[in-house]
Amino acid sequence: MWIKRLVLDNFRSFYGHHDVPFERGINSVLGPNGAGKTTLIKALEYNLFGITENVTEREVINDKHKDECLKKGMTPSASVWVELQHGEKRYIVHREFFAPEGGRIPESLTVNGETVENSWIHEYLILPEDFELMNIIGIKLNTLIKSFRSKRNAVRDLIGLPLISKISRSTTMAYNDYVSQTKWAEEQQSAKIARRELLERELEDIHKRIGELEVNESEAKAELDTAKKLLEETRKKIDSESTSLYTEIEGLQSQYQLVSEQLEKERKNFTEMQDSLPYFLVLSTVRERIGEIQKVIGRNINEFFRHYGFLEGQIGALQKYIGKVKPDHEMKVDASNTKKELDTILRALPGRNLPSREEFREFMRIERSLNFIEYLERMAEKSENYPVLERKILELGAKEVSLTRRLEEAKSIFRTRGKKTAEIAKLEGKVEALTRRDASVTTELERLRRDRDLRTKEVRDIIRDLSKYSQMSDEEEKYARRAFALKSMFEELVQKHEKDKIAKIGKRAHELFLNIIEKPELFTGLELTHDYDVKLHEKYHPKGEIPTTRPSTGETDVMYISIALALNMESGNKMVILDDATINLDNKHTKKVLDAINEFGFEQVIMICKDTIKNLVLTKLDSRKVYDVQFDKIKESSIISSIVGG
Amino acid sequence: MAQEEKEEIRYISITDTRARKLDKFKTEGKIPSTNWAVKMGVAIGILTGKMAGKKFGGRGHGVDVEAVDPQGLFRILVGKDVAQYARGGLDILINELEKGKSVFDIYRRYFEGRPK
Repeated sequence: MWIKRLVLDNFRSFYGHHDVPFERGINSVLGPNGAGKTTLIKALEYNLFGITENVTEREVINDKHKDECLKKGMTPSASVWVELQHGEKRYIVHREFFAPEGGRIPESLTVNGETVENSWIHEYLILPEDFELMNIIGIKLNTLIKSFRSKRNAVRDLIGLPLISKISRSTTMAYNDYVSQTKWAEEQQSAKIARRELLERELEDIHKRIGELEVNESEAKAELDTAKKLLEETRKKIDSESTSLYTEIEGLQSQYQLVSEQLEKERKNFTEMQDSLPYFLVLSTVRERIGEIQKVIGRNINEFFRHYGFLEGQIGALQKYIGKVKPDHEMKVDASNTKKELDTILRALPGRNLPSREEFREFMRIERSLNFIEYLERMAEKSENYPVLERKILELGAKEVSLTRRLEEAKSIFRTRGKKTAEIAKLEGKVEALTRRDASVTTELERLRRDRDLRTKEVRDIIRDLSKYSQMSDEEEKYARRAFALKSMFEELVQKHEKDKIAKIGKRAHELFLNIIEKPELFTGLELTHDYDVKLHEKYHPKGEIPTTRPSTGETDVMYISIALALNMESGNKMVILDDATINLDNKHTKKVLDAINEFGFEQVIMICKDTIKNLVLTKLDSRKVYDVQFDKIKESSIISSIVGG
Repeated sequence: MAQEEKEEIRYISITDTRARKLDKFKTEGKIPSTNWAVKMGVAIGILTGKMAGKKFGGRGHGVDVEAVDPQGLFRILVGKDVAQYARGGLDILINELEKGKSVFDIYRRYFEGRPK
């Protein structure tokens, strides 16, 4: 089916009669904003499906015509004729709109001159089995042509794309996540298994080394214990020996000291006695002699001393007197005289028996010796003890000699103790060396045990982790559940709407959509966007994953244009009406869309575009008809004149 | 001789022969010392009244009087004749010692026989 002609009579902005013949192939309608491009589509919609939306009178009947009619007293009305070619059949659908009555715009519908009901068109003219898209458009054209956004939403709603796409995407994402998680888990698992094997090998070595060292340690400990025991015993032995030796030496020394002292004392006594022996022989004679001497000179000496003492007293008094006054010559003479007098007295002493100087000296010596003589007399009485004393001295001397010998022996033993000390030092050195050895073995054992514990712990952790991987992580399980749930939802949805044509179309559209995304080359090189360039796509999604980034507005438009074109192709319908479909597209994609339209070879395409892309449209599209819409004028342009700029 | 009388007695001459003999006894441990022997000699000389001749001996070998008789007990008895008594007594002592008598035996003998 294609639209052969559209005739407007005072419809909306178009005053008067306008005849717009369309041809098979591409028909372009170009014009600026508000020129009336969409009005042509509205006319088509109202004609075929009636006014299904709330519109005012102004939106249907031309204002200028209305004013004229009011002036002339006529009833204003607007008419739209659409001539459709459906196979061999030709239909002229005429609908006339009148001034509103009670909020509703009355209308009359005739097809080929016969008045019919609205439903007639749906039943006889636009048959679902003929072309499915027309069916959709037939139902929702009203919505479709409102705006491209509405159109897009409508298409999406119709084909159930949002949900399906969402489900599919979520499913795919979840699946991909699951796969990647699993893969990651597997990698982790294999890495951990390798690590575990390495650790187990290391552990084996460590166990072996520990075993060896434990044997060494026990040996070293035993050796050390023996050495310590020996050292202890030696120390004890030497200590006890030393103690007894010390005690002995001490005892001997004290004994020796005692004997020595006694011996010395006795010797002293003996010496004294021995020294005095000659005196003892003459002692009695000496005593007698002293008696005689004392008898002979004693009295005289006493008398002499008495007088001498008197004179000395006088001299003393004189000297005392001289000391009291300043001694003058006379006093000195007196003293000298007194001394002379003393001499005189001494000379004039009575008796001629005065002892001589020698006698006097002797007397004095005897006086001095008397004490000594008394001592000798006392000692002489003991002279009988002389042999006893001698014997005792001899005994003591022998004892002293014996003690000296014993002391010398003890001291020599004591001196040999030095050698034993060296023995202890040697043993101590051995013990120290063994202790060091034992300590080094123990240290290494500790280190190895620590290593063993660490590795064992790590292996245990790895085993736990591996058991965890062998099941499924929480995250993985979540993804998997989501994936399965979404998959079943999707299947349910498809099953539920199996008999629903819309759903069928939607399903098909979804497949196509996926094809567009995954295989854009199916649509003659129609690239969705530079982002979805095949090479880039492969680069970023080498395994055919569906990109999960949200497409831009332009990309979305390209997708829906593709869907619309694809659906038309699929359904066998060869008619497409595109109302400002390329409004969001850049030049590159506009060119691509136009190329696609050219190449797809639709039976009829009515392309409504802004005049900004006029040249592009004219050069790209093989337009059979080109209309310039200028407000209430619809002017057909020839392609040549358009290109040339006429 | 006259000079000896005037001077204070300082030495007792005992002659070399006596000195040698005393040295021998001393080495044998029979007497404690030469001085002691001289002292003993003086005592024995006084007790026995035996005096050696003044011409005998001379200054050949002498001992200090102060060492022999520090308290001057002998000199109280015999004065300047102490040397002669010493020489006389020494002869007796040496004779006795040569006979094998001990010092104490000699002492006992002369102590018993001393004038009471």
